[in-house]
Amino acid sequence: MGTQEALEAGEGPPATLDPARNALTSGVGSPAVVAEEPHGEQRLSAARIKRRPLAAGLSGASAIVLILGLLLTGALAFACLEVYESNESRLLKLRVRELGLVLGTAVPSVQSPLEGAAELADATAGNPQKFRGFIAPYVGAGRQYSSVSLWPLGAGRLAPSVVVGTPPLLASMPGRAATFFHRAARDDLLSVTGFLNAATPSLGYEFNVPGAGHGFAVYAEKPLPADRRSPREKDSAFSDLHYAVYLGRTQKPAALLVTNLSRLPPSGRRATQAIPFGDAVLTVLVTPNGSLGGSFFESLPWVIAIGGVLSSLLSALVTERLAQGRRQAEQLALALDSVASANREMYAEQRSIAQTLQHALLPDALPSIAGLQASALYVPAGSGIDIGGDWYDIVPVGPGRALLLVGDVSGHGLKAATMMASTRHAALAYAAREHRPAAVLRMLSDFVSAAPHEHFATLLCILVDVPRHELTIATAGHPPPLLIEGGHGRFLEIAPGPPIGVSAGDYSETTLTVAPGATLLGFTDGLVERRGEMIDVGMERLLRAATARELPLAELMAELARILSSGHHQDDTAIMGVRWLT
Amino acid sequence: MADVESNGDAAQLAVTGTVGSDGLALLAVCGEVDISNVGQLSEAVDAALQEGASAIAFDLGQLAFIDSAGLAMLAAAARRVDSLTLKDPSPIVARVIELSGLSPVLPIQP
Repeated sequence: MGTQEALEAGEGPPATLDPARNALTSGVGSPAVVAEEPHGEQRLSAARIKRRPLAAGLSGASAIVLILGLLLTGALAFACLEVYESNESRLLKLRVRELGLVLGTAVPSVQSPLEGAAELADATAGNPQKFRGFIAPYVGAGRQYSSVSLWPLGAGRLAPSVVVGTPPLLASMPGRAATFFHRAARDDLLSVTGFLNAATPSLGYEFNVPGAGHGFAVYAEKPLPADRRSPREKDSAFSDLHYAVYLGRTQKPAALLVTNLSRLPPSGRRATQAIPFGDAVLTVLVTPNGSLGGSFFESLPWVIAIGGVLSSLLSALVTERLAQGRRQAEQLALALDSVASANREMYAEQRSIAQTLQHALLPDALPSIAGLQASALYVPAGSGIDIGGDWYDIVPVGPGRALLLVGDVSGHGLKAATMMASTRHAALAYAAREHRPAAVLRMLSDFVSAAPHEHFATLLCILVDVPRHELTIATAGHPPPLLIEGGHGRFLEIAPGPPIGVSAGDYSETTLTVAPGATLLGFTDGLVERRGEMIDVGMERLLRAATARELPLAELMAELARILSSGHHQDDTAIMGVRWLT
Repeated sequence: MADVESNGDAAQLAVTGTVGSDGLALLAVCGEVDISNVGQLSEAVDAALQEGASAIAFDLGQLAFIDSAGLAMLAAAARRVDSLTLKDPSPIVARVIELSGLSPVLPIQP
């Protein structure tokens, strides 16, 4: 609904009034229905807000955060595990090499007693006493060897000439002895052989002075530990390793010399190293006893994995909370929005009802007066739903004569509207009986002042004689009308009587003649009154706007309403204008 | 002597007053009077009448604006007492009273 509605004389009710009427009829029953709606909506939304998070589960954002977090954690943990594994493997290789070096250094300690004895035998032509005396400290239970024997080489039959300790196993195996000594003579290394299937599994060592093919060989045997088990030495530099030592380049159980592994072959990480040992080769197999790099690095991937999963869950939870908060805020905003929009509708409807009532109290159409163009305009206040108290009427009172009425009841609301309605209808009745403006006001004043009122009405009453170009004006405290003649305007200020409803006052009237084509504008104070300024300033503003350019009457009035009621328009305004056609 | 006071904040308005033993109420109206707070002015008048006032003098020296509802209230008050006068109205207020034809009802005390 527009803010301005014009009534043109002789054109019937403008179409714009009809929707207002419809709004009145359709709107009467509806406020109660409308009033229920916002509360219902609010409760519904509140319930939805509370229920939603339970049903919704993880939001998309939280799921993404969780998945990304878990992926990152997995990747980190995997990378860490890889680094750990490769580090452990590298460490194990280093350790097995160290162990090989340590084992290798055992060769001289094995070899030197045998070497010493061989040189002594060569020097003493195999003297048994000297040999026995030299080697005896090395032989026996708990000593280095269980048996040491002296074998003359180059003789016909291969057999020991002197035996210290237990009889050598090799002596009972002439064929093997021949092969062994033959091989042993070829190099200047400690020769090693194993009797691993014997009743007392043993290792045999031989040393002969190189080049003395005819001299003596010293042969020693040392039993292997029972079950090949070696107790693990806690203080050893290699206590972090499990190991197995094999004779030869093999890891067959049959070649096992010694181990502290409970199970062979071992599972998990392992490293092997072949170590020259005399003329033989030992194969060392090691597995780590725990983590070589330290337990922290062993558990680091797990720390990362567990920490990562926890922090991912936490991040997802926080994200979920944030998402939830946002959802709730959005829902709340939506709920508030719907409440606000319902309120707006309600307000607009009430306002529309108020305006419709106002229009119902205004004339549907202005009567046509010969030779006079008439137009009226009602502009509701910029805000508020109260019914204003402005009205206008044109009452034909004879050929070429009419009474113009522009009134304004102080205040707003139902009481003001009631007073306006009664004053207006009384004015219409008196106008029909008496044409003199002052008389109309006097009768009206007597009628209204009979009862005490909180409100009063200002009223402008003008008798227009069209053919005689004559105006007769009386006013009950109403702003003076504006007369425009030939592009010049002036306010017709006449001595005002008191407003209707104040006291049974006396009213005077003034008659004047106007120029052909003159325009007369009656209006209510809403058009000119502004807070904090003299009403004359507003009237001057109106005068300037009204005489700025020549416009058709209806356009002029619409223009004035547009200019003067823009901005903080707090009061209703009615404007009525007439223009002499000649 | 009795104090009559009323204070509100719709449009800024403060009414303070005293009722003398001679039955003259002096009401000072500060701020703006319009439809939103005219009831406040009305209450001050009611209170003065209850205190036994038979005449009211409004001090309008601090009144910046009064709308038709305020004027109607003053005019209604004028009917309830023997004498009602306005003191020191601003030109804005005086002009509105003059144009409204209320000068006989709301005489301005020189």
